[in-house]
Amino acid sequence: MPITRNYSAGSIVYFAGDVGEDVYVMQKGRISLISTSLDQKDDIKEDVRKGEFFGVKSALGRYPREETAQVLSDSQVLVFKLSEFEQFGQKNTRIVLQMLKVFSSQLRRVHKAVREFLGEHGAAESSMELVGVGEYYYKAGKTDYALYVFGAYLKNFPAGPLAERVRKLSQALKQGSPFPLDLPDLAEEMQRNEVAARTGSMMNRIEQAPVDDYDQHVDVPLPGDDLPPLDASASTHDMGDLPPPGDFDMPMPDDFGDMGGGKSASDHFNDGLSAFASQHFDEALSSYQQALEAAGTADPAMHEKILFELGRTHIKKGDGKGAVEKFSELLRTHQHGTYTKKTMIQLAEIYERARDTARAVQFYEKAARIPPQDKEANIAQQKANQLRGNK
Amino acid sequence: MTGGGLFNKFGKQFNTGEIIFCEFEPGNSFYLIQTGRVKISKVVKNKEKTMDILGVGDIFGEMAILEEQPRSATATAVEPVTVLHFDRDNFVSMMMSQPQLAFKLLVVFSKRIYDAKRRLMILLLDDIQSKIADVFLMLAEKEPTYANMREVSFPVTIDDVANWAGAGADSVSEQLNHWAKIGKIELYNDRIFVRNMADFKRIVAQKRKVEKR
Repeated sequence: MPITRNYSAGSIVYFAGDVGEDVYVMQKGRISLISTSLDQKDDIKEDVRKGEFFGVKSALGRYPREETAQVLSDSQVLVFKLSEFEQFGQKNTRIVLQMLKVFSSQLRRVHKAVREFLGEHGAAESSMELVGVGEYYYKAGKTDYALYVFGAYLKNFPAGPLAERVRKLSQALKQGSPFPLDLPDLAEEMQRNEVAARTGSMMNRIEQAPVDDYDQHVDVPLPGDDLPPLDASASTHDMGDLPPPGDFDMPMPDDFGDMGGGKSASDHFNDGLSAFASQHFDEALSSYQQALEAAGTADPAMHEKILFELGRTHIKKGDGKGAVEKFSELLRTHQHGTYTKKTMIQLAEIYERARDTARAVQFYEKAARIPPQDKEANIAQQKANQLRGNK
Repeated sequence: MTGGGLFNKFGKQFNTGEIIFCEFEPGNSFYLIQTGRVKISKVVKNKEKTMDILGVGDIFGEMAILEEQPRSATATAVEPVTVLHFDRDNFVSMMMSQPQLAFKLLVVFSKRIYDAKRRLMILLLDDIQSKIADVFLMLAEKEPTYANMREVSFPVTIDDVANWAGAGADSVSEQLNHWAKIGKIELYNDRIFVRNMADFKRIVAQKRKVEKR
C-alpha cells in the first residue's frame, strides 16, 4: 500500500540526479519542481498541483531524476513503490491512458526538436530513402525484401515522382534480371523530379496534420484525446497535465474520469470507440447517440466527430440509409469541417456499393477537390476516373 | 478478453525472414510480440546493420501511434513470429482490455523520452569535443553496470559515435584519433575503449557550466 509522508517547508523530496523508484502524488502543501532546460541555459520552476503525480517518468524509465522536488511549505504526499504504482496502474487504466497522452505529447515534442536540429527528412526525402533501401536489397540479392519495399512505395506513393522507376525495377526484379545499370542515379532522378514532387502528392503527406488511410479510423491521435482539456504543451515535468483528481482516497475507483458526476460526451464517445473496435455496433451506436446528446452543438469539433462515427457505425451494420443520413447531416452542419473530405469519400463509397455510379463519381470528385492535395484526394480522384471509365 | 480472442482480432503471423515493416515506409500500427523473435535493422552506408533483436513481450513500431513519420528501421521475423498489432483504430479498446500493456507502453515511453532528451542535449553542445565526450557519458548511463567505472569498453564504431553526435564521420574520426594518440582512448574495429570516464565528465560539465552563464 502506498504510504502518506509529510515534508516540512525547506526540505527536499529528491534531488536532480538522484536515483529513485518512488512515485509521488501531491496531497497537501506546496512543492516546486526545479529543472534545467534542455539547452542547460535556464532553470525551470513549476509547482505541483494538488492530486498531481510527480517522479513518474524517471521511476518507470529507471533513470536519474531530472528535477529537484523542493518543499516550499509543509506538505503531505502519497508515496508509491514502483510495484505498487504498477498495481495501481493496472486497476486505473484511464489514468495510465492520460499519462500516455501526456508522455506521448512530450516525446513528440522532443523528437521534433531532434529532427529539426538534424534537419532531417521531409516526406520527399524519406520516400526516396525508401526506394534506396529497396535498391540496396535488390543489389544485395534479397529479392523478397526488395519486392516488399517497392510494393510499399507504390502503395503509399502511387503517383510519386519515383513511381515509374520503381515499377521498372519491380518488373526487372520479377524477371530475375540483375540490377539495371542504365538507370540514372537515384538522387539525380529525385532532383529532376523535384518540381513534380512539390506539386505531387507526397509533399503533402507529412506537412499536413496526420492523414490516415481513409478506410482507417479517423484521427484518434491518442486515447484521452477527448478527455478534459489537458495543457500538455506547458508541462516540463511528469504529469503536469493531469486534472487534479482531488483527495486521493485509496483504492481509487476505476471510473476516475467520471469525477464530475455522470458521463461526459467524451466518455460516451470513447465507449463508442471501444464498442466499435470490438465490433459491438449496436452498443457503439447507442454510445455515440448518447455522446451526441451530451455534446449538443456547443462543441462543434466533438459534434462533427460523433456524427462521422455514427455514419461509420451504420455502414458496419449494413444500414446505408442511416449512414447517408448521418453523413449528410455532418456535411450540412459542418461546412469545411475536419471530416468533410473523409465524409464525402464515405458517401462516395456507399453510392459506389449501391451501383449509383453517377453520385459516387460526384462525391469522389468533390472530395478530390478539397485541399490539401493529399493521398486521400489522390485516391478519390483515381476512383472517380476509374468509375467514369467503367460507366 | 483472453489472449486467444485478442489474437483472432488483432493477431498477425510472419514467417521466417518475412518483413514486418521497412525503414522509411509510412505506417501507423505498432506491434507486441507474442511468439518468436524480431530483428530491427537499418541500412547504413550500403550495409545492413542489426540494431536489436526483440523477443516475446517486446513492443516495437510504437512511434507510429504518435506521429506520422516513416519507420526509422526495418523489422523482420527471424523465426516464425506472431504479433498483436495496434493502430489508432483499436488502440483505446486494446489498452482498456489489456491494462498491463498500457502500463508497459508507459514504461517504454518514459525511457524513450529520456533517450530523446539526452540525445538532444548532446546535439545542443556546440563543439565536437564535448559532443563526443557526452556520447560516451550517455552510453555509460544506459548501462547501470558502467556507473562509476573508470575504464569502459563500448561496443560501438566511429560511425555510431558520429551518428549520435550528429556530426560528420570525418571530424569525429579526427577527434577520436587524436584522443587515441594521446592515450585517452583505444580504437578497435568493433569497440572503443575509454581509459578515464571522469575526463569526459569534466569536459562536458565544464562546457555546460560555461554555457549556462
